Amino acid sequence: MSAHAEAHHGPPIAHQSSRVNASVLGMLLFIASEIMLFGAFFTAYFFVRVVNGIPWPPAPFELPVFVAGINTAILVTSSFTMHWALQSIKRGNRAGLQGGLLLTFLMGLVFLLTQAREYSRVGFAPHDGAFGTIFYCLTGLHGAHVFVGLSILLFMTIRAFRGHFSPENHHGVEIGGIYWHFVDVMWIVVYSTVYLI
Amino acid sequence: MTSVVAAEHQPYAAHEGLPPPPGGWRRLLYPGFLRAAWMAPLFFGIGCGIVVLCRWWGGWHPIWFGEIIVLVGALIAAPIGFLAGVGVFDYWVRYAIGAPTVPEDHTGHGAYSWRDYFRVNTDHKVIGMQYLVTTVVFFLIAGLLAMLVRAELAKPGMQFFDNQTYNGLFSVHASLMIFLFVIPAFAGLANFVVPLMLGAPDMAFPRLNALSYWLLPIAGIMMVSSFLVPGGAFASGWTGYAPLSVHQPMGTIFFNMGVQWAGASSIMTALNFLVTIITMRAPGMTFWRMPLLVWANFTTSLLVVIATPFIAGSQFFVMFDRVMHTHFFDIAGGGYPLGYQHIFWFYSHPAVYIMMLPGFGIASEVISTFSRKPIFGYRLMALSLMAILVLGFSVWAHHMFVSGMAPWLRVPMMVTTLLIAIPTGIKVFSWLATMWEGKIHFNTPMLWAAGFVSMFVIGGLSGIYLGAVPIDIHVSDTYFVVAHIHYVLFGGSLFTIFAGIYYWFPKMTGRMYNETLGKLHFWLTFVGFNATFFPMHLIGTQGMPRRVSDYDPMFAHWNMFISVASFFLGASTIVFLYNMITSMRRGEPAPGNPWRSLTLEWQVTSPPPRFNFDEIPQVVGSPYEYGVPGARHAVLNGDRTAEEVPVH
Repeated sequence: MSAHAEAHHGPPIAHQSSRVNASVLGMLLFIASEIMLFGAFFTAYFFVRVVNGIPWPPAPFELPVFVAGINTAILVTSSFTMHWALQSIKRGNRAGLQGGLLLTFLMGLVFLLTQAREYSRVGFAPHDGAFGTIFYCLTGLHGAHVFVGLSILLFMTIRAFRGHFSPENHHGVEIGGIYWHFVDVMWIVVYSTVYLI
Repeated sequence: MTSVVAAEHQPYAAHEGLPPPPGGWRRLLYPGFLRAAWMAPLFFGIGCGIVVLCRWWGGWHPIWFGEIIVLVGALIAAPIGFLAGVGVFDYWVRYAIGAPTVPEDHTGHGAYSWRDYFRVNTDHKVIGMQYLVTTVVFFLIAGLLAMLVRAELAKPGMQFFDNQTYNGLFSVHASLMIFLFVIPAFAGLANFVVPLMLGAPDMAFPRLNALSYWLLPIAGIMMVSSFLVPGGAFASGWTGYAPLSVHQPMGTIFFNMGVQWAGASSIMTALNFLVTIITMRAPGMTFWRMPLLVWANFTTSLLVVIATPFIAGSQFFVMFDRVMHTHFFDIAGGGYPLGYQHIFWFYSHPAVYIMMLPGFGIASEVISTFSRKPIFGYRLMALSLMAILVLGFSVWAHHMFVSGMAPWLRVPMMVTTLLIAIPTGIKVFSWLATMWEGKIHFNTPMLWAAGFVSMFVIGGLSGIYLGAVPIDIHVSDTYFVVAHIHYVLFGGSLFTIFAGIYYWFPKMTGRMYNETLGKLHFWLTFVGFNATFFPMHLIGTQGMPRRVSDYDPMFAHWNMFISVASFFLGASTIVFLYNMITSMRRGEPAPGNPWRSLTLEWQVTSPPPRFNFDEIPQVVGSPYEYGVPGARHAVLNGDRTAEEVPVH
């Protein structure tokens, strides 16, 4: 082993001192950091809504709770198709992987487009008082995360159709999937605090 | 079998380092500064195009709006183009689209000439050096700005600068020192040392490591170049309090975005350290056998990952308030101005520990090695780091005692602030007990470490004064605060950075530094530092305000004294630079273990081999058993023992 390592001037194999996969751990820590970024935005929400106590939503404005609820259902469903994709490739079912990823991507896209449509019809802008500010910044921050998640999904889908991933090697799907689940769970928090409460 | 493998891999062994770049026009496509030179402007153009398109589509006038063009084109898109140009993303792009990735032949790893330090390199040792040299450059720039501040303050009245320029000088000084020197310099030292100490061949994510380095020069250049834009540099202090910062000239967005890039860099590095420390320890290296530097970087990285997003948030809010006219901090629109300070300090108080805990780690290594004694209370040292981490999140509002926040918050924040003195005190007494009856060798690193302990105690004591609400109300925004911050950040962080640089200089460069010049540097800095900052306590308690370019003539004598001392302090850096540059080129060749240290990085050659270890070492004991007969930290290469430790 060591003779081999010296011969091709490669590094010695690092000792694996934890059962956790390094990339999964990295993604979880990144998500911890992301949660704190949302935490900063929710702190601003708290200051405006609880400390300042402004009406929510203020008089002429209304929030499209129903449409956003449908949108929520779409995003939550996409978490299940994501899970289906991962389980399929774990069992070696490539068609399931491709179908699952494609469905997840499409549902995420529908969510993002609905969100954009909502922005153009909601009747207020980010500069219309602190309510508009917080609404646009929280949903916008989440939208940016959906966009990143969609990019990751797009790359996973391309790779899935080009024949990458296998039952032995599916970390690429698993790690992107963790991020997508995080985006979904975060939306449930954003939807509950901004629209429902 | 071995011979077959050797023949198969002959091409890689024949040339070391990357193959030469292709000639002709193809060279423009080869990762490096040449490609960055056209990709950065290209991305700038794309950024401008997106802005113009969006504004045209949304019907906003004017369509060409300078500040947003600068923000999106120059501060976001162009840096991404630069990064893509130097080749940080090459592998990931190929991976993402499923193209065949370049087989890892490790030619991009390690440095064979000075040119290898100017390209994307995945070797943690090269990245560590890149970090250190870059941060020292920004340290010098920030130091020169401090000299300009002191020149203006030498006499009462206005001499050289107007108020706005003066405010810009100290703002950029502080921002560079914090975001581009102290935090990344510790990251650089740790980058070099931590994988070696753990017995790992590299960091967990070498390409991410390279990316996090390349974000740094971007952030630094952004902050420095803010002097060149209309209206001058950002001038609301490194704290950038809203709503003041919202209504400053354009330089402010250079601060907002610079902090984002530097923050992203430190989050990525911290994540990398955490994963490396958790998953890549050598066999036998349990958490309770890790050197305290590794412990310190573990806790620091946790702080960075959890806290840094808050400063990112606060700077986003200020930027949105400027360019999108949102109402985060605008009372008329229903915003909450004090929210900025809460969110900012929720990061920036833990940031104080981000800037100090790695220094604690360095001090522990140096003091134990040069006292030839085991560190006193090793487990308590590690646990006190964790205690500081937890308590550090509960003290932020002690920066806001006079801000008009809810009065009931004051006393709990005061109590937690004073509680932090307990774990910190444990550390100070542990260092003293380690030195106690030790066989102390006062080499340069030990001088800096001992200087750090004494100066940090002074800074810690003035911190207890400031943590107490009544005293804080009296000395808020005076030079007493300036004295305190410089005793903990200069006497604390900078002294330990110097200790670390001198301590690991032989390991990094393979050459010894000049001991006489090192000691001279320490004593000049030590005297200059105290002469500069100690009198600030006195004029601070008498009411000299900070961040003001003019002052009452009653402080004239002390200020002249402080300015002269600060020039002396600035000049002492020349000794450091001369020593580093000449020793790097002509110093005596360093042995593998000049300090007879037990930790793993000293058990390999100086500089370390390209992949750190031929074979992953087996750790068998504590890293600090100095003077204990027969004690060993690790076994390398089968039967070769670790450096023998003489029994005193």
